[in-house]
Amino acid sequence: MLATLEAHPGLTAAEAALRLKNLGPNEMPHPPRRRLLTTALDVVSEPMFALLLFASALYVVLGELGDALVLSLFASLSVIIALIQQGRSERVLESLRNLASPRALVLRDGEQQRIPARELVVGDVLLMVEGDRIPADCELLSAHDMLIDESLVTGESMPVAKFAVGDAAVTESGQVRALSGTLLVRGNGVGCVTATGTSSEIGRIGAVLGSHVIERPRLQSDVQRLVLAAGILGFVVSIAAVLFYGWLRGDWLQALLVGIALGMSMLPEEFPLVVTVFTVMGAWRLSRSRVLTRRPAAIEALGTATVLCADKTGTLTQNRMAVAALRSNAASWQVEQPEQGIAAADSLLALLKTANAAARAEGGDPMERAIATLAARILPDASVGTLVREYPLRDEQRFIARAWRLADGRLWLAAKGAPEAIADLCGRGEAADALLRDTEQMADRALRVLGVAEAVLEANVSVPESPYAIRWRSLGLVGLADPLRESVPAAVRECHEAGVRVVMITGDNVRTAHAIARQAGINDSEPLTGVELDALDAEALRERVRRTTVFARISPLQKLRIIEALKANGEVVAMTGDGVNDAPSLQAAHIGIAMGGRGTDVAREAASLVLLDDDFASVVRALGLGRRIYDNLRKAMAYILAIHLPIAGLALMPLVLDWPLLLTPMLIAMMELVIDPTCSIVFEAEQGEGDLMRRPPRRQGGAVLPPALIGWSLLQGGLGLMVAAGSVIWATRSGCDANQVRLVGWLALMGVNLALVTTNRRHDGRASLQLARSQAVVWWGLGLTIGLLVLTTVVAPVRTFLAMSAPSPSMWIVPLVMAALLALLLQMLKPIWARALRS
Amino acid sequence: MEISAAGSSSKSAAPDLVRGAPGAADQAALVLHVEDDAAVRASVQMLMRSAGLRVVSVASGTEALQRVQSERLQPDVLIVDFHLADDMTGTDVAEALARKIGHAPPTIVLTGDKSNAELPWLVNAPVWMVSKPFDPAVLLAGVESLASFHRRTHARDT
Repeated sequence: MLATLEAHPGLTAAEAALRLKNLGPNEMPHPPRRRLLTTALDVVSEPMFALLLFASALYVVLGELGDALVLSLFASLSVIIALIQQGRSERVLESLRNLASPRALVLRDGEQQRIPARELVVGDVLLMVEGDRIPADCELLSAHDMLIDESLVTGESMPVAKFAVGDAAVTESGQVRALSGTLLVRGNGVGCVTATGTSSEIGRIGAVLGSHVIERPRLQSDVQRLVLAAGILGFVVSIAAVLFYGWLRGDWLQALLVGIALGMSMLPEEFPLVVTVFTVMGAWRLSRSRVLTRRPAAIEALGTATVLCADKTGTLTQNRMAVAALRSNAASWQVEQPEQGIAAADSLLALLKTANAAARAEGGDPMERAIATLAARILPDASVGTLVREYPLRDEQRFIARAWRLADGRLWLAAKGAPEAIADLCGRGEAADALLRDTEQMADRALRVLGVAEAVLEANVSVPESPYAIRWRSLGLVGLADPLRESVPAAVRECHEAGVRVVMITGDNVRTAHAIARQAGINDSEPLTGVELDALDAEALRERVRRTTVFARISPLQKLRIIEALKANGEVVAMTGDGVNDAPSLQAAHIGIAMGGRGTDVAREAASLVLLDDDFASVVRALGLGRRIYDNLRKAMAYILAIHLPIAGLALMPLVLDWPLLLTPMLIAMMELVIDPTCSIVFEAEQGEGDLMRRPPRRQGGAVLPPALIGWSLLQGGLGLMVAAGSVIWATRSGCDANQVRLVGWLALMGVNLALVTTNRRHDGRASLQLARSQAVVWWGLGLTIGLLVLTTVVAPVRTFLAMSAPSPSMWIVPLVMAALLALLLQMLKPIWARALRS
Repeated sequence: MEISAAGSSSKSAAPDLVRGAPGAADQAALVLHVEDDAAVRASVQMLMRSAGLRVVSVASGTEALQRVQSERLQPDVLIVDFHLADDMTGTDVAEALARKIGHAPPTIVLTGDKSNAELPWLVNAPVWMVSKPFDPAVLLAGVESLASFHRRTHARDT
């Protein structure tokens, strides 16, 4: 491959930029966005909008043109806010799509660079490896064992072999081309881009890559029931109020206004808003942890997960080889020790230098690359002389040897390979036996072991024909392993604290599974192998999966059985997987998590989450985020429920007590203006509670609003109503006129709102820390509320317009003090309820 | 395993069979079972029927291909014995079927010895290996999972 690369240095960055400008980006036309008009129509058909318009029409009839105008303004404002929210959601979804879009490895300015696939241009030299989705049409400059799945573009149902241009095996022109959108299932290669975007084959037939379609959030059924119930209740009460008021007083226009005010106060329009905003923002937050949400329901399910089944290779480990141990007859080094230890021991240096000299520079395997990587870091001078001969790996000769002519003319031979082969090469004896004993020990620690030997010949000796013709000296062993990801032990610990069991399922053997489980902190006391698993019936397996957390030598079907057994035990299962063969299990798990880096499209489509960096720690972060998002959703819901009680109560009170209208439609519309952003933005941004990852998982299938939380909300709302109603009654008794009473009621309502917001932001009773840790949005929310309050009560023209007038000073203080007392009271009551709220 | 390099441009071959018979999704999942041992064939047939699955059992790869062609079968799962009496292996049958149908159904390869069987490369279809003798309940669980997987993914394609 190297020779090919030298022949094709790729484009220069400047040339690539020019072509990108002239030919356009390498992308398909975007799917049509949700049109603004559609969104606007949705909003217009909302009952809240209809009520606002109806109210403003009534004001026209009443001759109050000013009121009518402002209410229409509010109506337009609600459309604008909805449009902005929608636009924000669309942008978030768009950015998620961009995140998911593939990247490509190209040669530019003579260097390998990873660029977004949309920046590919004709003429780019593209490097492709197994598992890649080909990002543009290209002609193959080199192809190594390439097998491509073209089903998406050509409909061909079997993978197709590909060859480099000029290869003798080529029989038709299609065999030297790799098409955009097809999948490299085996091998690797280098191609020169011939067509991008809509001029590529897939662009011309207009096929769209099906992956990474993100579902729109749906309302959960229990929220839907709640909305329906509140809606019906509001409707019935409003109609009843209109009839009652109209019949009693004969003033039907006023009766309609009362009805509208009541309807507006009881409409639960915030519930759907909150669910949509929380889901979309939740997906965005997850994406910042490198997790892509394909099914929004997964966000909710994350908080209920009780078992996390992880692959070993690539998820717990880094999926690469690294030198983990060196052992000479005089010294040894292990990866846990600092690397200076190698440089300090001459025998280890000689071992590493020789192993490196025996490693092929070109086309080396992962183990050879690992040795070269370590050698480049440790050895001050890597140059050894001139390579004069290589003895390749053969079936009967399981080592590689290379002969080097040193500067002083002597011949130096370096060999590395299977320890048995190296022992044979050095002639069996005491040293060879020790070598094999050490090998056994290292293999027990799940290391791949290579033996290393050297031979030095005088300058006048010619290069031997066979490596067996000379005398070798064994230098020791090199142990290699796929290292654990650094973040894994902490992430596993976090899972255990959070009551989530971590289960490792691997196709590797028990020894490797043991070693990795021990490093990761996964309990490996009762491992189960695939063969043993086959001997268990479903009942016995169910019993076994309660204890076993390490499964080795597991086939895809066995993986499915493990998942089903866990599910049968009532566990909520999250599972990672990458291949096509894992796809049915990903679908069977409650939360299927596909690997974005290595995973196949089929696995991604079957999964509900996609890991962009394949890292186990990201899964655990997502778990924590899932808990936080759901927690915040509940808090917002509880707040919405609570705040509607005092509003509806104040709207109903004049009716029952035969007073003039207290809360005008205008005031209620303004109240909504405060509530909407509070519940959707302030609560959404709330930090997770301190013990979020130390609680057991939430019970699966529990309602968003469990009875305990509804009770707590109603209590808060009831107390809030008492504060508001109390203020109003007190003001009436003190001889205030209707406009002054209205101002007192409004003041009380805004105060109660602040009390309810602070109370519901956290369930873990620490009020003092609350404000200190607030984010910017919370301050914005507070500022908005207080600003509106000052504007409506202090600025005289606005106040007059809202049919309010200033009462005596004490009337100002009473509702605010009462609201503050309410906040204190709720804060004290909170710990009593907090326990019930956790379950 | 020999992978044919021919046919990379056979655009027209696939689509007409892919769409399937109308209403196919309402019926029980169809299992195609290729097995040369009559006793195993009978027992698997009974097992599948007891679970409410439709099953077509044939004795050889050639017969499987003929039946798929003549009856326009759209199997949801293919169960194939690796060692068949005629000169096709189970892997050959799976690959030939994929070409004939236009897409590969999820496949279970039954085999006596794990080491020898070379599993087929199928596009977008899981291939699971089950070693003989097998636990009927395990085979059934596997078939049902693969069938529902195929139904769900395929429903989206068409």
